[in-house]
Amino acid sequence: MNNINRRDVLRGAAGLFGAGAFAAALAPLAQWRPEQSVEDFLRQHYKALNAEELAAICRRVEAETKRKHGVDVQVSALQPQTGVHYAYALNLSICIGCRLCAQACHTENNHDRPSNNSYIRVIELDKGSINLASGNTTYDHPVPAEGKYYMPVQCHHCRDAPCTKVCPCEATWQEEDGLVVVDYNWCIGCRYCEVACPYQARRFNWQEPEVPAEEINPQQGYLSNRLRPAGVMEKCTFCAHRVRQGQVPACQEACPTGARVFGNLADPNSDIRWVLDNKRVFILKEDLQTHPRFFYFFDT
Amino acid sequence: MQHRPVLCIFRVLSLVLCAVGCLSLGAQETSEEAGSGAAPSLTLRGQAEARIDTGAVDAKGQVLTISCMTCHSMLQPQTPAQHPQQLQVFHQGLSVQHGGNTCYSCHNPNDYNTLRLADGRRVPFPSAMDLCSQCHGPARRDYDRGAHGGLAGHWDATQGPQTRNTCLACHDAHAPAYQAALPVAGPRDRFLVQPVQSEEAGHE
Repeated sequence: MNNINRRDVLRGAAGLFGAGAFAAALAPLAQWRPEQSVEDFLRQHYKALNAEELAAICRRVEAETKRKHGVDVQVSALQPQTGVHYAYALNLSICIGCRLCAQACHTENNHDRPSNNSYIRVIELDKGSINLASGNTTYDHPVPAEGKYYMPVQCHHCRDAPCTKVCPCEATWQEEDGLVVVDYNWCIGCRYCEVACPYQARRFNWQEPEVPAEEINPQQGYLSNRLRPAGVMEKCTFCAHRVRQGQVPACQEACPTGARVFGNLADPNSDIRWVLDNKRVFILKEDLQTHPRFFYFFDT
Repeated sequence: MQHRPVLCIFRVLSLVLCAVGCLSLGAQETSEEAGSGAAPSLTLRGQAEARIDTGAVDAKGQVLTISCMTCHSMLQPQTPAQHPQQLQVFHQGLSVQHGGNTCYSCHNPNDYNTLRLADGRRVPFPSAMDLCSQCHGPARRDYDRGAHGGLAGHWDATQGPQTRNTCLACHDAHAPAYQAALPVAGPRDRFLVQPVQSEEAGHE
């Protein structure tokens, strides 16, 4: 004890201070509650799940929704129907730009209310060209306006989608029936897919979407319209929870002019096949060779 | 190391078993068959009736309509009225803006319960679309193939009911031009509107 010198005392004090600072830095861990359950953390990729595991995950999502919002919801994970390949056509001669499709998407898919988010964006363009750069999405005058036509744009579920190629963790992929889907629990939020999409169809959740409990649509799909957390990508799913039961997407249901035609490409008697065979059909940004499933056509 | 046939057989066998196992795993995912065998059900909106709206409602709030024959079985037609403005009584507020069409282009003066084609053939009111088709053939062709007028309900008729429009659901026969309307609210994205400054919003 007699050989304690100034250096030892300073070392001891610094060590005590360091230990105290370390303990203070670790203190927040005491209040940490994991957002995910252990089962969710250890689960496999969606495509590797069997029916029971998938059902268990859906039940956990329902329980989480009940805990956070106090609402009973039914989360389904419908499988693709055999022999079905979806496609969608939109009649630009008839669309009047009323945005009722975007509004129907907003309510069907439990979108964030303050930003009036929707997977569909209606672009007002000048007749005679498709100059998307000069298009207007925030028009607020009676429609259809003179000299303008209206082009709603949503995810095209491309057959050669650039978004699925750039995802570093395969949180987004194309299913057998053609739908490009996102597993919100697998997405890491890097937003590469948002950059890759040439149609600006992808939306990122900077914050958790705000939806009043009484307005939540309780018919939900695991890959489609369930309530998304903050920090994940999302996009139009052609209302997977509806179309895989044979229903039309919410946007077609809402369209008052009948400009939208959804159907099964594999059915030779379907409306969509007749449109593609008999109408003046084109696709957006054909030079990028994304081979979309969303077609635009004119009556004349 | 010496070449041992038994080991080779083992390796080949294990490879084959692996392949068979992987294939059978892949076949476990079952897909639902399209079509549940339900009878197709189609509802048409906008069916025409040989009735006219009186503008009044009954005690339950339902619109009161009367049959055309209520009056036209008693009254003689005011010939040769081409437009409602030429009429002395009744149908005063009716606005007709349908090209060069006159009353009797569609209405049947011999039987006001029916309509008539250009060649005089009688057409019952539920088949009013056949009148539109006389001039608007391409639209009728598109409609019959599902490319005009829309579809609500199910794209797959075997899985549930469908609802479609007739011409009259969207186009008033007397003034068919589609009216302009105000669009519903558009997107309020972060880069389109001024950011709201609040503590929760943070730095954008």
